[in-house]
Amino acid sequence: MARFEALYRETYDQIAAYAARRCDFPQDAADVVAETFTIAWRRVADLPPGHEARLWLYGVARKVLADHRRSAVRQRLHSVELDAEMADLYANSPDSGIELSVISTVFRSLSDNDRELLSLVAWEGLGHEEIAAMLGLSRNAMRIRLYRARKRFSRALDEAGVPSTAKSRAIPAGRSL
Amino acid sequence: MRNVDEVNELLRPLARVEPGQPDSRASGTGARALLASITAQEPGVVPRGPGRARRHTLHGPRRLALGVTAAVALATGIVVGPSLLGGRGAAVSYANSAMEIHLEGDQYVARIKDPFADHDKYTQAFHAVGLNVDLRPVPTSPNGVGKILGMIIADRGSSRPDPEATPDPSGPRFNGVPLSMETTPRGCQPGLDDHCIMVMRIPAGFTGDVDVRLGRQAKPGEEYANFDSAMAPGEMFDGVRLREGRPVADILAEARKRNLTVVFSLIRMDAKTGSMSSFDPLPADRVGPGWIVWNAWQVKAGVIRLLVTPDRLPENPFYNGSAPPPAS
Repeated sequence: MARFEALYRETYDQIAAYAARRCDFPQDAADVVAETFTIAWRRVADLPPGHEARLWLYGVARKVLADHRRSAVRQRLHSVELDAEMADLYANSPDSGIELSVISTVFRSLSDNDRELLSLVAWEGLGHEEIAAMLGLSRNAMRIRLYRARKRFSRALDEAGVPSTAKSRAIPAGRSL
Repeated sequence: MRNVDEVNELLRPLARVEPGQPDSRASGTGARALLASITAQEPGVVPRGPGRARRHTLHGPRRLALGVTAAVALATGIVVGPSLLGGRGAAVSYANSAMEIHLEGDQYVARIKDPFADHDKYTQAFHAVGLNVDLRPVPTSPNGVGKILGMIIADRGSSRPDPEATPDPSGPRFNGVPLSMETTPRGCQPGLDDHCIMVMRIPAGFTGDVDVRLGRQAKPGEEYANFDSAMAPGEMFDGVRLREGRPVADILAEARKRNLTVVFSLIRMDAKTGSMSSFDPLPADRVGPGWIVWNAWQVKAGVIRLLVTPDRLPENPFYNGSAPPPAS
């Protein structure tokens, strides 16, 4: 119990951010968070020790999210407070601007797997080993997948006319105007 | 090919929650309630998968634990069967987070659970059952909530309203089946009261297009779509009569009594046709006490707009047939 509570407090922000970055609506993100921790509680005996528990939670959240997207029949627990707190996370959402940037559009055109790998690095700040542990892949397999995802993203950016390096950096900065 | 750093740099600004900036939301009310509700359950009940877990938890103790603030709602896309009755090749039932619609007898019954939802969600649900209904909830004063503010029915195919001697206040009928709107529980205010649902009934055989503007509770500060009901019973200017036009000073006194803020619009008349050509917002300091008020609109909660002319007109322009007369 104490361990679960400690883990919840330690990882809530990360799981909430993970869900919010991947769900278009705060209510969906709230569902993903609620369900992820519910599963963790039910499997509290299986929780891996230490730092790995966080990766394990990411893995659960990822499955919950996939299930959420797939599921045609869905019921949801609806908590007004949780929805509202989650909505706060969306307050400065870059996607809430009038236009999605070219980069965002290109990124969204990638496969779910590619997007997930790239964002685990860029958004969750996970290292190769951590991602491999989370996804249950060998480190090598994960590296290859990540390399290919980056390559596809890079190519798609080229096709969309996003210049590499120096100039491309100006684009995300310009979005906040 | 772009290297890792460059990719990261491109992607970071896209993250809805800025990477690397946790700010301890675990202490929020919702997050704490969630923790409490989860740990109120027996731990160690291993579900087979997330989907299974969800259904267990909805009927389990978590629902009880969140009882006060939580309600269980259906969400996204529940579709039931192709229609055997209508032969439209569409579903007979559909639900998403905003509304659900079912065939019940000779009517489709649409229940709008979330009056603030994105308009597309409603369209999606109506289309799923083969109805061309464009439903737009619009903000209104409390009295306009749940009421149809405007409905355009486009005849198409066999759908024409039945001829009526006196219009049915609940809505037009098609082959004897009414197209109607109500709230349930009766008289509740969607968007204001919890569990208040707007119910729209559409004849199952209806093949035309319907555009409906439906009143929902305005959010604080939101302007009313039923602006022309200011003098109707229960509204801000209930009981005020402007049929003959009244001096600004009188009406200002009336507004003060009711604690209302007043704004003005100048009625411009078209000299040729004798009808109104425009309403132009006018600063209060340019309006004299002897100017004449011909109509009042409710702008939003606590704010009334007076429609004025500097001089008395031969007749109230809102009653000369050039515009629908105000509700009262």
